[in-house]
Order: sequence, then structure tokens, then C-alpha cells
Amino acid sequence: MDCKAAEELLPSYALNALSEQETDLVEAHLTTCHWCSTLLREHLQVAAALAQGAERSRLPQGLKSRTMRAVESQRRKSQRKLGPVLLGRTPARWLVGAAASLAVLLLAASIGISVHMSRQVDDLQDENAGLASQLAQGDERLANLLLELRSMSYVMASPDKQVLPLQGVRGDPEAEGVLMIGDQGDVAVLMAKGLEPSSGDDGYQVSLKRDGQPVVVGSLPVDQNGWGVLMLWADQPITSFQTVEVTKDTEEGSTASTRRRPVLWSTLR
Amino acid sequence: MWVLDYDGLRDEQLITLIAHGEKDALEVFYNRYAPSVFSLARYMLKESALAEEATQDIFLNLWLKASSYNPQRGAPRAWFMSIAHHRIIDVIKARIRSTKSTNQVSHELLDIHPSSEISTEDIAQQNLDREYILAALSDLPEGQREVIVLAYFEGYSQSEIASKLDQPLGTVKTRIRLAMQKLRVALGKYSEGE
Repeated sequence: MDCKAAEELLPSYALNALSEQETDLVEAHLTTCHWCSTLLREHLQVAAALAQGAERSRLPQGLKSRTMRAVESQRRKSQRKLGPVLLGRTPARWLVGAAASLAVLLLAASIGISVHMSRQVDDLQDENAGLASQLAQGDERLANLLLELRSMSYVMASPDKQVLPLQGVRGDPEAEGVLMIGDQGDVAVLMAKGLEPSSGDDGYQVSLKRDGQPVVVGSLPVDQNGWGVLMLWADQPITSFQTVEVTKDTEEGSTASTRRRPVLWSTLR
Repeated sequence: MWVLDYDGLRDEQLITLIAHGEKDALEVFYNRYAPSVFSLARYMLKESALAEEATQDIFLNLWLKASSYNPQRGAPRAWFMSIAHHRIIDVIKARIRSTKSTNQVSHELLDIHPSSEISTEDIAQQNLDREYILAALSDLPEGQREVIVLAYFEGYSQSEIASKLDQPLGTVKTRIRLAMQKLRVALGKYSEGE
């Protein structure tokens, strides 16, 4: 299916008004076409707005508790299934050998990573413990920080995360970093080191760029050791952008005017 | 012990947490969207018991499939309402059309009147939302409004609509496309703000 054919079907697709066969064709096209995916987002917004055209009904009493009980029941079922499946099978002998070899290789490869990661996890745990004690005092800002830490751990633990090295641009030979994009593409963790410490008014800015247009997605605080960590949330796929850049305000000569100077960057495709 | 305030989280943050098995996040998502989902189900299925069952299925399905959320396919709200709508249509196809005649085309939205008759001063926000949508629908030419109502609120496919209205499939496709273009303009600010 080409874009012209897909564009004609997208309005009906958003209304769930296509046959199964047409739906499959459109979905296959959407996996490869960013333009049609963008169009679909607009049609889905309209369809979601149409839902508000339905006459309002009061939620039946007890529906919420019944729904949550069904979810809890499903969760217990899933947990029960996991044990016997993992324990009940007897793998073939060659499979055991292959698995053992693979495990050795993976272990060797992971040692280097785990040493580095364990330090970061220790740091996160320390930070988490500190946060928990402060949260008892009721600071709402810390609630968001705790969510970020938890989300970071999800991204870092995901086997399908995309890991992109960030390169220093100029003037900061020690600067380097990494961008880990979660498997759903909408969250990422940016970690950087070798940067000059930032002060309150002198921060680093993180932007995603598409067609030369930057979208600022956050400020990167950098500590006294030159380390910085930032959780990125995006309302569109991070890989739909072309580059990620970390920039810093610098003063220009005698005019004392400032401009943003890139210090780290990476392509996203 | 301190508890995270899930109510302050954005939809995409809640979906991420649901995908990782956090039931409290699902509960907040339920509070946010169950009224819309149940109202749509009740309106389309016309039976409260079926609507309850569908609503429960929709949130159970979210619990199981939250990790399949792809931001490229739409904002969280649009994505979730599309899944909910799809599930409601499945119920229509499985349980209603098998037992009822569908030769009659009748729906209150086909007889809606221009928005000038709508008083917006003393109605609740939810009703305001509805009046806004009805006003946008009422501004469509009758043929275009008819195909949107049949597709979205009655759950017919474009081929079924062509057969039902005895119109060429191409005409139905064109009307749906034109109607969606006009609705996109009319509802632009509304849907962006959601």
C-alpha cells in the first residue's frame, strides 16, 4: 500500500470502520511511514473527541471494584502460571550446553557493564533513600523525582532499550554521555559526564531537533563531579527526531551577549 | 510510609507504570476515563449490563496490553479511546447484530439541530463537551453526518454503510473523509486541548 491509498483509508481506520483486511494493510503501511502516522494522530484525536458526543451516563455502583478485582485475579493467574512453566520443562541436553555457553558469554560481556551500572544503581538507591526521608516531610517536588528514578530504572532494565553514545562537540574533550531510549520510544534517560558543573542560572539545555528545529525537552543539572542525569518524557517518539543536543549558555566576547553552545550530541536514526 | 501521588501524573506516565504492573496507576487511569468509556459503551450498546461488561473488559485489556502503547500512533487518550471504541464494536458485532434486525437507520444524532439552540450557561462541563461535539456534527452536510454517526456511534464498517444506504462504497469513503476533515477543523482546539 502506498501513501495515497493509506491516506484515503486513515479516516475510516480512525473510526474503526475498515474490514480486517484493510486494517491489516493500513497497519503494515503505518509501521514504515512517519508521514501517515502523523496524519493518523490527527484523525485519532478527532475520533476521541467524537466519543464525548455520547450521552453521559452515571457510572454504575461497584463497577470500579469489580474491574479492579478482575485485574487482581488476572495478576494472580499470571503469577501462578510463571512458576510451573519455568520449573516444569526438561530442556534437551544440547540446549543446556548451548545455554551454558551463551550464559558464559553474556556473563563476560555483562561484567564490564554491571560494574559501571552497579555504581549508578548504588547512587540511585542512595538518592532514593534520601528522598524517602525527605518525602516524609511532604515535599511534592520530590514525588516527581521519585517517579523519575523509578522510570529511569524501568528504562535501564529494559532489554529492548536503544543505547546511543553522545559525543563531545568542542571545547570539552572529557565530555561524553549516553542516551538510553525505552522500548516504547517515548521515554529516555540521558547520562553525561566530564561537563563543567552547572549553577542555578547556568544550566545545560537538552533539545531534540527535527529539520533544524529544536524542541527543548529539559534542563540537565551537572554536579560538582561533572556528572548529569536527566529523564526525558516526550509526547512523540524520540526517534522521530534527527538529533539530540546538550547545549550551554556561553558569553560572547566583549559584548557579554550569550548564545547556546552545543557540548554533546548524537544522531537518533 | 509515603505514597506516590498518582493523580498528578500524565497519561503517558500512568501507562508506563501500568505496563510495569502498577495497579494504583490503573486505578487513577480508570477514574480519569471510565466515565467517558462507560458513557460511550452505554450509548452504543444501548444496554447497561453490556456496557458494564465492555467497560470492565476494556480496562482489563489495558492492564494486559499497556506495553503495546506506541506514541507514534497517537496521544494516550486518543489511543485508549480508540481501543475502547474498537472493543465496543466487537460487542456490537458479536451480540447485538446477531439478534436484532438492522434494516432501520435511526439514531438521535441524525436528527440533531443547529448549535444556536444550545444553551451553555448552566450546564455542567461534561454536557458542554457533548454540546460542542453535537454542534460540530450538526454543521456537517446531512450525508456526511449520517456516515459518521453510522460508523462511529453505530459501529458499522464503511462497506456495511454502503450496503445499508445503498450507496457506492466510493461515495461513503469520500463522505467519511470530507466529514473527518471538517471535524478536524471544527474540533481542532478542543481535541488539541485534551
